[in-house]
Amino acid sequence: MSGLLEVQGVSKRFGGLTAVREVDFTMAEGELVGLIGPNGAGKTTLFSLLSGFLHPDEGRIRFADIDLDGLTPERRCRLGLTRTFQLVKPFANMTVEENVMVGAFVRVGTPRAARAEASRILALTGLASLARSRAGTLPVEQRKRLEVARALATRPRLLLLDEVFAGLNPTEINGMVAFLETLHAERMTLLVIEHVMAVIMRVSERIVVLHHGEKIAEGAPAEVVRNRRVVDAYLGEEFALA
Amino acid sequence: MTSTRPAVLLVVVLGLMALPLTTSNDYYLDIIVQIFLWGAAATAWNLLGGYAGQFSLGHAAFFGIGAYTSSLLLTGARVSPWLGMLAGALLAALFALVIGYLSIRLRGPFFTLSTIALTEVLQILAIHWRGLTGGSEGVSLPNAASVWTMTFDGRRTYAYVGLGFLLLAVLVSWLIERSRWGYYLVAIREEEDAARSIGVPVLGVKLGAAALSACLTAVVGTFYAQYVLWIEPAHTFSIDISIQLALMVIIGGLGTLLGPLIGASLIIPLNMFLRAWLGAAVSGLYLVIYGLVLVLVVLYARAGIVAEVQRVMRRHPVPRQSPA
Repeated sequence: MSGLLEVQGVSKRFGGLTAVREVDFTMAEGELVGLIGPNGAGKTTLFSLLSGFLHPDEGRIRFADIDLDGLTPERRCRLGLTRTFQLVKPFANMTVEENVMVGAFVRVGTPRAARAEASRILALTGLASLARSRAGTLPVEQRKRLEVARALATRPRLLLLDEVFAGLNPTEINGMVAFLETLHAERMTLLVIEHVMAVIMRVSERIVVLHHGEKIAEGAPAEVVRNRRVVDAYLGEEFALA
Repeated sequence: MTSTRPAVLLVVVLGLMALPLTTSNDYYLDIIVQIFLWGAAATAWNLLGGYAGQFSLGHAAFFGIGAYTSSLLLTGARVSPWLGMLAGALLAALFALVIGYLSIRLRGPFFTLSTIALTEVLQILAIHWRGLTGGSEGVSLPNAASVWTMTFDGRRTYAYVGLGFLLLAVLVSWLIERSRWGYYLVAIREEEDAARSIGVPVLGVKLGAAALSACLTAVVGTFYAQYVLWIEPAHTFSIDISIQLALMVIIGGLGTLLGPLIGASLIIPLNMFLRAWLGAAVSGLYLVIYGLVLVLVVLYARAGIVAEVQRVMRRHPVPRQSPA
């Protein structure tokens, strides 16, 4: 069976630096996969390659049996592949509702329909009471929710989430985990970049580990934490920091 | 994106329609015509520069294309400016698409610089392509009043024709503001990458906005030519026009429906009064005062007058039904 997302031998170089090197992995419909690795491992670069903000020097990416080569981010979104940004990018001078409406316009034509879709999504993401607030005035946690809400409004089949837990307190983290689990239960396919190990181990069915741009391990969370190379990569980091 | 209430719009439109009836003085009527004319052009500029945040200082190019196309068709082939206006609008839109395709990927100041360069090129072309444009002497238009040649006897008639163009520009903006496109334009202005990530076809939307904005600006260019009946490259293709349009919108309120008109209503009379009162006494003094007023607006109403009014109204809210 072919997966929803197939990444084959993808590499990306910036000058002399290879940010992503010959990465392969596959995701089946409905999976929740964690993408982890130390700072500078190439996680966000890989997201940019998948979402079309960067183009690979080698390798290919297929989504829903379509070769994504050369397609713009907006085309990929239309196909059902949507990303969020680690540094959230709200449309600051629009209201929360209007932010989500922009995403909804990928699927519906009229403002009336987009507003209806937006209010559904805002209820789902717990932002309904803030619908008329200016997005620029929101605190971090709500900005992260908005980032996810806006992406959800595009009705993605595969949602790429870049560090949605970073900067949240434990209560907020639990809220976000519960939310991801709801999406997962609805069979949405999720690829999640995360630094907070405890969280990613808890929510992921499978984990892909990047280090210096290479995939060094892949498997169930319990296997990955016992993997020698993964331990070395992280331990090495910690020693280097100490 | 606070949309303007229909009631406010209605009052404004009625007020504008009454305005030319308040005076028979040619000097004041001239001010009214110019407010409508520049208000219309600024509203057109606002589509690209305000809503979509693509800060153009090259709109004199579209203005000039409109003015020159209809004028040359009229003097050279006796084509009515009403038709020449359509030809100019089409030409300006095509021009915007071609230039836009090349330059609109540039972001921020680089885009702005490229639009300035564009105007310069057209100005030089208009000066040196004497066979077509008459060179720096410009083009004089026949002064024989007739609807067919868009030339009128009284300034009051010009005022109403100008008001027609202004309302056309405002109507187009109003329709855009309330459509999917309006949301797309603002999203692109706010965060281009985020807009792309959630499916906004950025290049197409920007080009569409550029073409529409160019089109309407060219239409006003034709009206301008038929009002002053003389155009020349040094003024019609000058960056002063582009700067003036941008200033009006900045002062009135970027990306707001009535901001450009409000900006024009302040700048045009200010400009003309200052020039009339002080121009003769101390040459150049009117520019100093003009500059001071601009500084004051930038200091105390940084987001534009419309935003300032909205802020005050929020503090003293008027009961309002929520939109459907």
